[in-house]
Amino acid sequence: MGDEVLLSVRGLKTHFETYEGTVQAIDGIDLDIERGQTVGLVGETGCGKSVTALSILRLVPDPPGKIVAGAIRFKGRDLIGLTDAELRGIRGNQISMIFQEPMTALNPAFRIGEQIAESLLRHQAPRLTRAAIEQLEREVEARKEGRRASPVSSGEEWRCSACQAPAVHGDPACAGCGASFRGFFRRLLRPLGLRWERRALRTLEKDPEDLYLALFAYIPGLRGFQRRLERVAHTDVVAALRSVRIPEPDRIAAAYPFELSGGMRQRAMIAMMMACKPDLLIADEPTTALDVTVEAQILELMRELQKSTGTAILLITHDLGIIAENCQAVGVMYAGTLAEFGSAETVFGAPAHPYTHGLLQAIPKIAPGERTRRRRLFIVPGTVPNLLYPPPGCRFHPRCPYADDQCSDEVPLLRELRPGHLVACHHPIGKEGS
Amino acid sequence: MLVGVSILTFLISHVVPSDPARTYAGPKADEETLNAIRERYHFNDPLLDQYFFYLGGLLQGDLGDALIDRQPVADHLARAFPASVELGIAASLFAIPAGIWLGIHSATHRNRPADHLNRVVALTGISIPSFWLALILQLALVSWLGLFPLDGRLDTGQEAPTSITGLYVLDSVLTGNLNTLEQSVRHLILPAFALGFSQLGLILRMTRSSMLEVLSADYIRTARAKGLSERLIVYKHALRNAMGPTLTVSGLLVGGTLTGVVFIESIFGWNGIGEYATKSAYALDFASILGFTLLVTLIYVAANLVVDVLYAFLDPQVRLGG
Amino acid sequence: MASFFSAFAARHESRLKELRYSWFLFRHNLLAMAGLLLVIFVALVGLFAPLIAPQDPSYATVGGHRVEVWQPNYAEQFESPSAEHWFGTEFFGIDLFSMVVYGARTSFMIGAFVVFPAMLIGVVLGAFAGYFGRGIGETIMRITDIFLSIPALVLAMAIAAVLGRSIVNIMYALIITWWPWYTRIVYGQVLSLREKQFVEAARSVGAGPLRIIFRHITMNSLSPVIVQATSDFGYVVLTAAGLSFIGLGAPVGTAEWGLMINEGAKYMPNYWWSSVFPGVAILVTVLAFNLLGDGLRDILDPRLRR
Repeated sequence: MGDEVLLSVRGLKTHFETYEGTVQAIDGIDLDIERGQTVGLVGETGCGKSVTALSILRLVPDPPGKIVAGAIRFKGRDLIGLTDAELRGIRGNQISMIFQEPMTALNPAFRIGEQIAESLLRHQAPRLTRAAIEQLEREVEARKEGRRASPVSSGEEWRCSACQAPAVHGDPACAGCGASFRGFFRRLLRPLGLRWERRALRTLEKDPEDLYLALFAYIPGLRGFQRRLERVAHTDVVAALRSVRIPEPDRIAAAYPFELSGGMRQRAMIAMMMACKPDLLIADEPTTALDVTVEAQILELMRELQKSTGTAILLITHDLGIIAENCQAVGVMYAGTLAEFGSAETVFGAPAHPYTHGLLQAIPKIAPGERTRRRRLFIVPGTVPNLLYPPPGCRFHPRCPYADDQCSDEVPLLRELRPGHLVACHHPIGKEGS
Repeated sequence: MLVGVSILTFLISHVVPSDPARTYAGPKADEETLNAIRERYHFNDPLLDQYFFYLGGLLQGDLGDALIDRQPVADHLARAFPASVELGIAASLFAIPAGIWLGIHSATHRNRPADHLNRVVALTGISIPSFWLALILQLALVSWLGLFPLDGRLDTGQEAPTSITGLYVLDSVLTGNLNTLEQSVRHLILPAFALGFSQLGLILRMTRSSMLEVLSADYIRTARAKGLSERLIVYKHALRNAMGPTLTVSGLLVGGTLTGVVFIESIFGWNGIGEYATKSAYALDFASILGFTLLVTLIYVAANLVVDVLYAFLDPQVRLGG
Repeated sequence: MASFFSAFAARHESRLKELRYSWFLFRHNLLAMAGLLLVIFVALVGLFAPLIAPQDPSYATVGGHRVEVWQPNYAEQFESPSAEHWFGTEFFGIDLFSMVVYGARTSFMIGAFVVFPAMLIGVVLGAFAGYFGRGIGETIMRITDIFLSIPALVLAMAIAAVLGRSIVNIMYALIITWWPWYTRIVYGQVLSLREKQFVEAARSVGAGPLRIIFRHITMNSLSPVIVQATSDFGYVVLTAAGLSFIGLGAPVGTAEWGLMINEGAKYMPNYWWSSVFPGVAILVTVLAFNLLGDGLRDILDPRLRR
């Protein structure tokens, strides 16, 4: 775990303009994520965790939401000042995000493999284009030498008869050695197709966003270059699916989202978002919509992926148990502000903010073997404030048992209680004793 | 289904209060002629038998005889059909792409001036009586500005191109007749616009609402999170999913076009089935009217079937039975 | 007295609140308000026609039907729009503005007498079809589909041709043409609502099928019907005008917009006003109902309500 700070958020404020007024969804968040670290962001529903995540990637829908203040430094650059094009280069590539509802997060009209390939083709176009060109040259060579082969199947798989590389049945030539699969007549016309493909691919190499080629990619007959790119990406797609432990990745890549279960879809999403090996993965309640057993699998998967790729993770959830199991550091959010931030041990072991303290106390405890006396479940009294009219000063003060006049007058800033442990409270527990 | 329709039209035709034989024969015919007609058209037979004769005739393509000239209705319709096809296709070729494009534009520029303008246009399109629009166009563009010809499919006195398809524009292209090509296109523009304008409104609204709904879906957010360009998101991800309702509406569109031709053709002197229907309506030629009704229904049902098939084809869930 | 009202208000508090919220949304929806105002405007014009129009028709009975009779004035034939005749005069010298104003009355009447009966028939049939499913339901829907497979105008044309030219006959023809749409809507709604849990709950308390159908299910499925009916008012007017235009609707001499356009078309382009103004009237009326319908749809859409 390196000490380099990957993402540094300071004073982030995001507001939403609605019919009834301005909702101050997040009001001054500070956050630091180091390379390879897993940071958790926990809080009740509506406390602004998702908005924070969306704000980092600037995905907040612009009417009605707006980032009104703050800085988001990622690898030294402030994401807030970047242009749309620059942001698009970062999304899915250096910072990725997976969402809560796997059932609706994938486009139902396209196959899984297509959607993953889309990410790869978007961000790794040069590499893939070059690989495609190489493949093309191999085919040209093989053509000159008149090499031929045919796809042979051994049960489930198809392979090239000459070089044993995996082959796809309808392909014009082998992806590995370039030997032509086609019959005599169709081979005659091939040079034209190859010439066109080479031109298209060379153009793409220089300008991946070429408009004409984007259109030609849809016209049958001229699609050759697109197909070749997709083939080249396919290997990576299958690898990505395998990395998330999806069985039969070939078959799943050709399947549509509705054919998969919720857990599988979430894995596919992770595959899609990790395909370009991002530095940071933001996971917004990734397991909330899944069964408990599937949830455990997905979380373990994420831990494994982190170990193998070194990706930092910002794990957003309302489940304290998940945080405890997976995160090194955790931030506790309340009503759009960060109440406390520190290492998992500190925050769970010695919570300084009264809210955190209340949350932890509210976890029902089952003590086996003991005579369970009838005891009421602890709750934090009151309800979450309406963010249209947040309470003055500390947003938690109406519900806080330790609140005083200072709490309703002055907004508590996030201050370091101990090294690495920050609290936004005028009377943190542990300093003055509870 | 179609059997049901035939029953309906049969019943309607028999609500006619007057004596059908007399209507055929004319007021001066004598009893003998009347009886002969009654025999020929089975007017004396019980109702159920009459229906079966009717149905039998239908299956053979016999729609009865027109009351105005005793020629088979089917012949009249067949002769008039290509003109309407040409008009209908022209109107659709104008309305559908324009409607879709403007609908997308409207959805992506929501609540901005362009959107408001589009919506006004669409609303006007579906609220305006097409026959009135046709007249206004004639008034403004033909009489006042002289930009387009008034009526007919070709200039007066011009002979039609050799008939291969019956569609003058197509025939002109196929026979290389540039003269008729130019004329037929010029004559086609105004009626096609008048006919297509309300269809444009319909498609625009449908596409707009469908796109708005799709654009707020989760998977669009995912696509944005992947770093895809807005253009790609709108035209690939969103459009693919938004086309469903628009496709379904196209079925209705065919219905709208079929009814529209009734008005437009008579105003523009376009000798298609619409004009034929109008003439028959004036003359209260029931056989023709009902024949027209049946034909139109047939086309409408067929079009909706095609739409259903296309829909199944487009939606992977239906295709793979998921 | 006051206590009665406050008790009433208390009991129906939530519903009143819903209504007040709906009105709030409505007021803020520009298009809906515009539509409502326009509709009211047209309705008032029609209602107060005798007061607004400079010239009034008399009535006579021809062939069992009541027809309008307008007094011709050949001296003022085809005068262009002026201060005296705002819309000019037509072929018989009759003041066009008066005819258009009375046309509003005719159209509104046609609209109301078509949409409400059609809605009634359609909703009832649809509710029954949806609730009872197999057998009755299927039969009803088959019949509905048959009607729906004939394009509206064409069907109306066929029926009107057979019945003869009169306003009443147009209404019959249009009612027969329009009811299936409501049946289809309600059928779909009932079908989906029937499986919902509140129906099971009602059944478990012993509510009989009729009560369930009407009180619970139908009430909940009415909003799309209302939206459709509002727009349909306009479309019915449009179709009626169309029928009159081709000579199957209002008898000659009636002040019906479609008929007027037809009459005026013969004298275009010289005396253009006799076709243009009635058309504008149709456009405004149909537009008004469409705006209103759109507005209603926006506020009744559960997803857009907070």
